[in-house]
Amino acid sequence: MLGLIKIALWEVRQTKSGVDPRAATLSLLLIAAIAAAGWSTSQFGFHTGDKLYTVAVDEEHLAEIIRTNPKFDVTTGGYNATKRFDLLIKRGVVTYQGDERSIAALDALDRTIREYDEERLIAKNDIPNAFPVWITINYLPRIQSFNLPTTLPHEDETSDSEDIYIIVPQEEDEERRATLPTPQPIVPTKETSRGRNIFQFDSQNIATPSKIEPPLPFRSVVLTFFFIFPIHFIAQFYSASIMNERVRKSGSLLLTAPIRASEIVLGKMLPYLAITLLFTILIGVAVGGNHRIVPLLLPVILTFLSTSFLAAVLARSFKELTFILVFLSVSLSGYLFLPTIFVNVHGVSTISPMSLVVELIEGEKIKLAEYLFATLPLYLVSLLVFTFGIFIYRDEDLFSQKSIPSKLIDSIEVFLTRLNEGYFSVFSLSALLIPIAFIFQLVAIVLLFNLPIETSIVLFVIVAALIEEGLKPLGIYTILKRKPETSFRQSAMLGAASGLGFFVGEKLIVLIVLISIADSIYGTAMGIGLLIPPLILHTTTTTTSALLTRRAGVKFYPLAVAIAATIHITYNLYLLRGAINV
Amino acid sequence: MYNPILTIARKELSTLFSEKTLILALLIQLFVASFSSLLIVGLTSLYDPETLKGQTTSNAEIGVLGYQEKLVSLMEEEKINIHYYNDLQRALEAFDRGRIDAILTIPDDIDPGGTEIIRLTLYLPESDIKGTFVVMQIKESLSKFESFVREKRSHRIDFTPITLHVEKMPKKSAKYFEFIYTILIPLLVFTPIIISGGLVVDFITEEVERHTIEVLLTAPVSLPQIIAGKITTAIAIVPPQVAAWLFFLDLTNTHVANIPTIVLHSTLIALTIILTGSLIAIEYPNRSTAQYIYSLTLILLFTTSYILPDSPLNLTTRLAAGSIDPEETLTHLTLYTTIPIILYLSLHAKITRSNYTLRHHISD
Repeated sequence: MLGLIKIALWEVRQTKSGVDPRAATLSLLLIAAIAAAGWSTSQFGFHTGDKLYTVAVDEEHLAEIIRTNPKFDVTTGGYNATKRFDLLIKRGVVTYQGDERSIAALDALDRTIREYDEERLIAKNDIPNAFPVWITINYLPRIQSFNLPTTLPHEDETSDSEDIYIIVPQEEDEERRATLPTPQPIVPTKETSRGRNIFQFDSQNIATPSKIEPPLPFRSVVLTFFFIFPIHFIAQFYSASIMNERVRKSGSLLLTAPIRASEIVLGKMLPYLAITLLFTILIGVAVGGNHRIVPLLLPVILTFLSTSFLAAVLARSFKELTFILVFLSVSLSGYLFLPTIFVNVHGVSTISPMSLVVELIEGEKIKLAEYLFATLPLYLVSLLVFTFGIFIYRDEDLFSQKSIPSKLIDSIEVFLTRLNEGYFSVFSLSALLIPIAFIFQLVAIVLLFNLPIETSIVLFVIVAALIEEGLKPLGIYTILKRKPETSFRQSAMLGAASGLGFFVGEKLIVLIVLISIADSIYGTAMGIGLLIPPLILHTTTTTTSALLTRRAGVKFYPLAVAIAATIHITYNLYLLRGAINV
Repeated sequence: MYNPILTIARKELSTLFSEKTLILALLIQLFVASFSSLLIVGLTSLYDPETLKGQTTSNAEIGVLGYQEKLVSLMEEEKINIHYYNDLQRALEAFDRGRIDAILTIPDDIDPGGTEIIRLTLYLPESDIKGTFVVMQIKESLSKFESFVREKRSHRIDFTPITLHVEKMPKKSAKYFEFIYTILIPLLVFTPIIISGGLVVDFITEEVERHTIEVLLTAPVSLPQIIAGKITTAIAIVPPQVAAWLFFLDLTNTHVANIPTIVLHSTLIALTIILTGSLIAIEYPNRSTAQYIYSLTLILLFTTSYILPDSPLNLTTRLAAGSIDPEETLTHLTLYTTIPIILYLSLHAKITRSNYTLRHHISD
C-alpha cells in the first residue's frame, strides 16, 4: 500500500518535470482555437455538401431564393444547353433527371422553398394569420421492454408454446399517472418555435406543424462524446508512461526495487485516475448532472485505463501501440455510444453506462439492477485486464520483442502456474474468462442489433459460439504447448474441467446481472436459463477441442476451435428453431 | 542503385507488415465503416429525421379526441388509422397498452376562417422510435392543415406561397443520398489519411526516443533523407486504401464518380497531413506530446473545414457525387498541391539548419 502511494507521487513528480512548456502553451492555443471553431459552426451552421446540386433557373428572383441553400449551384440566364443540370426550372415548371442525385436535389428544392416561405411569414409578424396552428407536444414515458419489436406477438394472441416470446407485463404505474403533464394553454412566442438547446431536457414543447421535430437521440450522442474525449486522452498519457518505462529501460530499475509489480502499475495509474475523475465531475456538473455520475463513469474510466495499460505492455513499437489504442478506443466508444441511441427505446440500451448517464441527467431514477447490468461487465473486465497485464509486467516480457499472442499466452501461463497447472487452474481460468466473452458478445449484440432479426440471431449464434469456444480451451492450449507429453486422458479431463468452469462462471454472471436480459431472445442464444444441457454442451465442446489439439498439435488450435464451435452452433440453432424457422 | 530514401521507406513498410499494423488499421476502418452502415437508419435519421418516413411498414395508430372535418380527412389521406376517444383517460390507457402510439386532442371550437390561434395537443411516447414514425406521418397532415387555414386567412396578411410545378413526381426516393455522399464517403476517404499522419509521428519519435537515430546517422544517410523515407512509407499506403474503399462502395451499388481524381485528391491531402505530423514530431520528439498535439491539430482542421464552404471534405463529396466540373476541380487541386510544397520546404529548411539536431527538449 505504501509502495503504491510512493509510486503515485513519483509519477506525478516525473510527469510534472517532463511537461514541455512550449507544447503546453501550444495545446492551450489549439484548444482555444477548436472551441472558437466549434462555436462558429454552432452559430453559422455546418457546411456540408455545398454546391452538391446544379440547378438552372430562368428567373433571377427564383434563383435568389434557391441560393439561400448553399447546397445548390445556381445558373441563370443564357445557360449552356449541353451542360447537364440536376434540375431545370423554366416558367415555374421543374424538370429533373432520373438519377438519385437529381431526385435528392428535388427534395432539397422543396425544403428550401418551404423554409423561404416560412421566413417570409415570420417577417409578417402576425401570428394568428401567418402561423394559425400550434401544437403542444407532451412526451409520455412508456414501459420499455427487451423484446424486439418485430418478434413481439400481438397482445391478444395467446402464446404459450415458445418461452422465448415473453410478453412484458404491463404494470399499472399509479405514480406516473399522477405526474402526467396536463395540457396548459401557452401563448406561443417566436423563440419557442426556433432554435433548440441540446442541453434542454424538458419534455414538453410547443411548435408549428413544420417545426415539430421527432424525438431524437442527439443529446445522448453528444454527451457520450463529451465524456469519452478526456477519458480517452488521459488514458493515452497513462499508456505512454508505461511505454516509456519500457523504452527507456527505467522500468527495469523499478522492478529490482522491493516493490511489487502491481504496486508499480496501479500506483502509476492513480494520478491519471484522479485527473480523469476530476474532469468527469466538471463535465458532469456542466451538463446538468451531479456527483452521482461518478459511480456510473468509474467502470468506463477503469476499462479505458486498464486496456491502455495492457496495450502498452503488449506493443512492440510506438506505431503498434498507437494502433492498438485507436482500435480499443473505437470499439469501446462504439460499445458505449451505440446503445445510447436506443435510450428509452429498447432495454438493450442499458448495456452502456452512458445510457444511464443520460437517464440520470434527465432526472430519472436508476435501479440497482440496471446499474449492475451496465457496470459489472466493465468492472470485471478491467480487473481481469489489470491482473493479467500485471502477470507479464516483468523483465522477460517488458524488454523483449515477443509477439502479442505469445505475451498473452505468457500471462495465462503465469496464472496457471500460480494454481499449480492442475484441473482447478483451467477450471478457474475458464470461469474468469466469462466477463471477456460476455463483453465480446455484448459488442456483437450491439453490432447485430440493426440487422433483420432472423439474420441477426443466426449471426449472433455463430459469433457467440466462436467467442466461447475460442476462449474456453485457452488454458489447455497453454499447457499442451508447454507439455506436449500430456496424456490423452489428462487432456480429456482438462477439457471437462475447463468446460465446467465456464458453465459455473456463466451461471454466476446470470445470477448477478443477467436477470433482465435473460428473458429476451438474445439471452436464449447465450444459453441462459437451462441447466443440464449447457453443462453437457460446454464440457463436450471443450473436451473435443482439447483432444483435437492434443492429437493434431497446438498449430491446429484454430481448427479444433472451429469444430467445437460447429457443435455449439448446431446445439444453439436447435434451441432457437422455433424463432428462426430452420 | 542505392537510394537511401527508398531503403528507409522499405524498412518501415516491412515492419508495418511484420507487426500486422496494417491489418489492425484496416480493421479500424472496417469498424468505423460498419458502425456507420449498420447505423445508416439511426444516424441518417439523426442527420435528417424525415428520412425515416419511407421506413414505416405499418400505419400509425393515433387516438383522437374531438373532431375537425378537414384535419381528419387530411389524416385519412396520409393513411393514418384514427381511433376516437371521448376522454383523455381512456385514450391514455389505450396508449399504455400499445394499442395507439399517439394522442391528438382537437378543441371543439376551431374556426379555420377566424382570427384565433388554433391549439392542438399531441401526446407522444418519450424518445420512442414509434414516436418518430408517428411524428413523420402526422407532420404532413398537420402541415397541410396549416396551409389550409393559412389560405383561409391569407387575405388579411397578403401572402402568396411560391409554387413550382413538377410534371411527374419521381417514384424512387433518394433518402440516403446526402448521408452517403456528405458523411460516409468523406469518412472512409479521410480515415486512412488520419491514420498515416499518426504513423509518421510514431516513425519519427520512435527513432528519437529509442536513440536509434544516432546509430542511423552514422550510416551514409542524412536526416532529411531519413525523414523523407518515413514520409514516403506513410504516403504510399494511402492511395491503395482509399481506392479499395471506393471500389467496395461502387460494388455495393453506391455509384462513386471520379474515383481516380478522389484518390489523387486524398493523396495530396494525406501529404499535407503527414507533413504536418512530421513537423510536429520534429518540433516535439516526445511521442505522447507529439501525438497529443497532432490529435488536437487534426480536430482543429476538421472543425475549421466545416466552417469553410469549400473544404477538402466537400471536394470529396462533390467529386464522388459527380457534381463538379473538371476546371473547378483543377483549381482546388492546384491549391492542395501548393500547401504540401510549402510545408515540405519549411520542414527541409528546419532540419538542414547547420546546428540542427533532433533531440529531446526535455531531460530523460
